[in-house]
Amino acid sequence: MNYKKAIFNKDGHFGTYGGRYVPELLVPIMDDLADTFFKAIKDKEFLEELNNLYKNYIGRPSPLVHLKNLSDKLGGAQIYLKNEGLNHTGAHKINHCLGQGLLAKRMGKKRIIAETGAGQHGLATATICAKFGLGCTVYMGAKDYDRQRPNVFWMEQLGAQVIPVYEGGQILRDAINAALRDLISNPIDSHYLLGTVCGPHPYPVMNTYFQRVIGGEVRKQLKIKPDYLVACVGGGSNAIGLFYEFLDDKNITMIGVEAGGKGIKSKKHAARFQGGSKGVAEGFKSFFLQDDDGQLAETHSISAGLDYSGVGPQMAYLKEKGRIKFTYSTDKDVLKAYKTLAKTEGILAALESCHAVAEVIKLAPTLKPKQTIVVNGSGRGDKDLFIVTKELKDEGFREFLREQGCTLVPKLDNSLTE
Amino acid sequence: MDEPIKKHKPIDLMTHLVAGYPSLKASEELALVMSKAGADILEIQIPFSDPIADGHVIAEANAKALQQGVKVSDCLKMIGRLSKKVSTPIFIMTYFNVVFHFGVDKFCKLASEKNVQGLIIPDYPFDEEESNGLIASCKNHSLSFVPVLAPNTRPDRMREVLKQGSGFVYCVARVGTTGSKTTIDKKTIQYLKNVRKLSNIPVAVGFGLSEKVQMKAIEPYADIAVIGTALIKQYKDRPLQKGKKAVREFLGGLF
Repeated sequence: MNYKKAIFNKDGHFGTYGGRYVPELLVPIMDDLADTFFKAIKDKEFLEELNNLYKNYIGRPSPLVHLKNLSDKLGGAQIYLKNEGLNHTGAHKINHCLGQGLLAKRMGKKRIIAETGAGQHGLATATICAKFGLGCTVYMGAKDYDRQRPNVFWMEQLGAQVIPVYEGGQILRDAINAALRDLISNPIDSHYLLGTVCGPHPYPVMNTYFQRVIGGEVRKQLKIKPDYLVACVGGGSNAIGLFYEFLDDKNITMIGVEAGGKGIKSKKHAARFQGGSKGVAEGFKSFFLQDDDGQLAETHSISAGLDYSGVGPQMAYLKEKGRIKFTYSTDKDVLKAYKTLAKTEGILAALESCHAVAEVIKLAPTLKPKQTIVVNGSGRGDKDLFIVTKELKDEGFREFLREQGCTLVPKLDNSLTE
Repeated sequence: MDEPIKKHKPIDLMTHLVAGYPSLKASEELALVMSKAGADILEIQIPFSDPIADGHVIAEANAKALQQGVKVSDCLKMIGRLSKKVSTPIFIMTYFNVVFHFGVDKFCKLASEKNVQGLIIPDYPFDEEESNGLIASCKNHSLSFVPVLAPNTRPDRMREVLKQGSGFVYCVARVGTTGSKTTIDKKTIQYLKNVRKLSNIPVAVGFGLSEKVQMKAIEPYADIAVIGTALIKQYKDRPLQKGKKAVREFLGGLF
């Protein structure tokens, strides 16, 4: 089975998943984008420019860190972390932003539209817009706008207009809908820089192409063949970035970790493969959390970046084929993993990435010391300052906020530490 | 009071409403009012959580209907009741996931049993037919699958879209979501002329129609004008009785 070929093709269908379920208005726009993309990746000049930016603007390759302390502590497999958090802007999102930004310039677009959940994709988009001289509008669910406020500020500093979306559950899905509406209204001058491997064709294949650099570097850096690859999965961009290179290698187990939120039974989660079903929304066919009428469900996760009711169509395909196994980490496990990684390795990872780390902490002790796990550290944790201080009930930080004039110190949510 | 306001209209009217908005019962009553006030086709939208082609007014109506717990089966039952009360042809508009989740063939069969004439599914381009069979199911159950065209649809694709559909062709008048105002300019007219050249099924024009002057402008080039957002605006902030009256007056004022 050639999995690489199956999830990277010109037609955008992966088994029965994927496709291009868009209003007719967007059909020519998606056609043009696909044409531009498939031509560009055969153009030496484009690839040189992209590789130059990868190297000299965002600092690729990102390091592959042997987490020796953690490995020793857990007493099982050797754990390596691909530290995408060290990229400029702090996450893997910049990889596809640079790629799509260059394509937008090729198409003569003047303005970029983007959605963002955690703000990492929005931040990376605002960054490349500043660099490439493009206008930038970022849609953000109002709930995410509030919980990831530092990123809103940084995006604005980079010249982006950040628009909170008050519809629906006010999270990532609502931001995607708002961005699609903007594109439908401004298809000529604007490019929608979709931030994950979801959406209509060509977005899943295009972002896969721009993210696969992660796994490509891992192969060179690790020198030996890993036994396990682990990554968190919201839409699936960082996971596919790590996995793609190794899809056709035998004897490598791939694990995608979804957001278990407050637990599957609580129904407050974003684990699409636990109780989700096949559906079509936001332009693609995949797995969605939805009710028995096909209405998409509200989701919950401590990490805004995984708080999405759909999952990338290639993920659904690879799950169906048994190539990727899926599990989930709860908010509680994630916070524990965040603390463990910080204290044993000196790495403050994003809460999204800590979903994968939490799984690794469970997995490693069950393996032998000569076995190897690579986990994707898709982002760094700075952006989560306010969430983490609140969840950990950090009195010192609360005091600081009071000193800054916040009379209303964040209300404490007891549900996690109970 | 319930008499048709104008008996001879220069263009047919397709009036849109969202089933379950402002409530299931009210939407049924509004459909009756529209039918009596001169609607030639009723376009009834079954609400969806992620209506990407719709502007804010219709999107909000979708969300409010769902908040009240309106189910797809309720909408279909309402449509069934309605079809017994009016002779106005009924078309269902909804997003593909609603049909897909219900079961494509099951949905088409039930719609047909409820006397529905056809389906308008804005996020189902014919390219996706192979793995879903919606167009085929429509054919099997004698439903029209309404083709949708946009001003930027390329000529070769226009032909293909028209070939796949039947009933009438829904021409999106301009770039954008539903609801914002559309100016009928030379480009719009050329686009409608092109469509007319390619097919002999009736041409419907929608997206942003709300005024007499627009009706006059499209009348020589189209057979059906679609009124959606402008109608919701008549009743969204009014008590139902006043809303119904406003709908009647609005439709009467279009010609």
